[in-house]
Amino acid sequence: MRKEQEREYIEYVTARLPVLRRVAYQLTGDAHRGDDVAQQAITRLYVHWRRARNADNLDAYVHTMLVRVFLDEKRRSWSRVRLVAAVPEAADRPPGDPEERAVLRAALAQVPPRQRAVLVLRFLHDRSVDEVAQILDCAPGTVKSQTSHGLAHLRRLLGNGTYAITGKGE
Amino acid sequence: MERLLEPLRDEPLPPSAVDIGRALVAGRRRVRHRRLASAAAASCAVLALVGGITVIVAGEAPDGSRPPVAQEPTASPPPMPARAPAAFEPLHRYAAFGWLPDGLADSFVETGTDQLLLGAWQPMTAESHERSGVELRIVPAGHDIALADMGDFAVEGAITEWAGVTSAEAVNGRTARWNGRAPSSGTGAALRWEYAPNAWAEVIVRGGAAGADARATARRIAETLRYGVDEPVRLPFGIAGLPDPLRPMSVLVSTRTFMGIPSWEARVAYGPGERTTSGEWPLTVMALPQPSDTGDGANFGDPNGTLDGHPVRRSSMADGGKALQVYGVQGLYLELTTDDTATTRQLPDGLDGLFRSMTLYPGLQHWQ
Repeated sequence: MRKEQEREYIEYVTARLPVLRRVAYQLTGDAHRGDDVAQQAITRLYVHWRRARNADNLDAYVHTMLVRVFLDEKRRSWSRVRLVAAVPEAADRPPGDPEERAVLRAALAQVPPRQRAVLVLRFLHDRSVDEVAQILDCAPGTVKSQTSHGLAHLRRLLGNGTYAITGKGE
Repeated sequence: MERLLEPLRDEPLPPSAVDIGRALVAGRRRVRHRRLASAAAASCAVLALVGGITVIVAGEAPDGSRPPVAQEPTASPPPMPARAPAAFEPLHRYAAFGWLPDGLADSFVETGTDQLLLGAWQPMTAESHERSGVELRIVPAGHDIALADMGDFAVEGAITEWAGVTSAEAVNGRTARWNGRAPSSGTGAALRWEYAPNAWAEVIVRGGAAGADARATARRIAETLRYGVDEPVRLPFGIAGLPDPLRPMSVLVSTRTFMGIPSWEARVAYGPGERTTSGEWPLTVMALPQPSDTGDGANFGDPNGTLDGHPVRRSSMADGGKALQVYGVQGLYLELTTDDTATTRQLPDGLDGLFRSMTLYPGLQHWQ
């Protein structure tokens, strides 16, 4: 890679790394594993930087890479999936309560990977259905159905019908 | 209305372990490797077998047969290779477990030219809180194993960052180290050793499979590992219509029991020696035992056509890739995918033609 392009890559990754780490963390539910996913994604981005820098929507392109790394990892390690015998309790707690976050994170970690990716991108990163479809390389209808299934899964796990998912994603 | 996921939106993160400098080094190395791989593609298919070593196959076969489970350590350890191959042959497994803890009935093998992953796991039950099992990560000569517990673990050359690594007693006379970064969560241990000059293997023991002493379990597995295994990875399908230069680059086979129900998955990725610009293999064929002739509303969409009487779903993807999903053919679900336009064009009769050239072996006992 030319030095000029490499400098562009470094500037881009430096600026976007906090967001990429956060998405990876929310996908994996584990900070260390999230950082490993982010590390793999930015390495893959380097290899494809010449093509990526010309993408119409570079952020979407990079998010696609990140999600693919995550899904690849999940496919490989399907056997690491955890099952819980008991349904996590969803008690009333103030927003931001560490215990509540832990319960939510545990529940989200049990949602199937593609559905989880849809929920994270739509409701935690305010991506539209079309954007998520682009990132996951699937039809908008699939995003909607995955959203519906993911929400149903979460609600079953949390056992509380009064919860609602909100976000700017349409 | 409560915002269910809102508390996770701005959750504080621990200090970053992501290293842009490491990405630069690894990325440059991978680019160089691709250039080399492209130039040497023809030679990649030739596997340099370890000289003079013949090993009895003891791996977890796709038909569910288990490796011999030794209750006591073997009297003498298996021979250690004098040298490692320069590349692995994806349709063969190079190594196999010689001993495993009891109860690891689920199996997993993923091959590639630069890495081999073997897994053995306890079947999942309704009471399972965490899977426990064992993984072997092994790379050919000239490669190292990433410390992080991640999918693409093969590193060309030697790793240079050693945080979390401590020395260990030698494995059958070979240099060994404990890797404190794997497993990345839960209990367990990871032991890596130089099984041949400039070639590394690592055993990761996860969860309760380790028993009371994860390190002792990891060591016993390492010391009984068998090298130079040359048994084909048996598959539920064969393809006659694969155009040159596409050839198998990676094979994944898992057999498992989920909530008491046996299942399996087989996936073969084909390519000319390098991935497409998106980082994927150009052609992938996957098979699952699933007799349904419709989608499931979640992972598999509903059919939108037929092919030779079979319900199918055809779709186009970014970069000109195509997908053909075939439902309920001899009790199987098949998924054929090209990743880019160039690969799609290489198939003279498209994915339909490729499907027609396939021979299926749905029963585990018939896999070839």
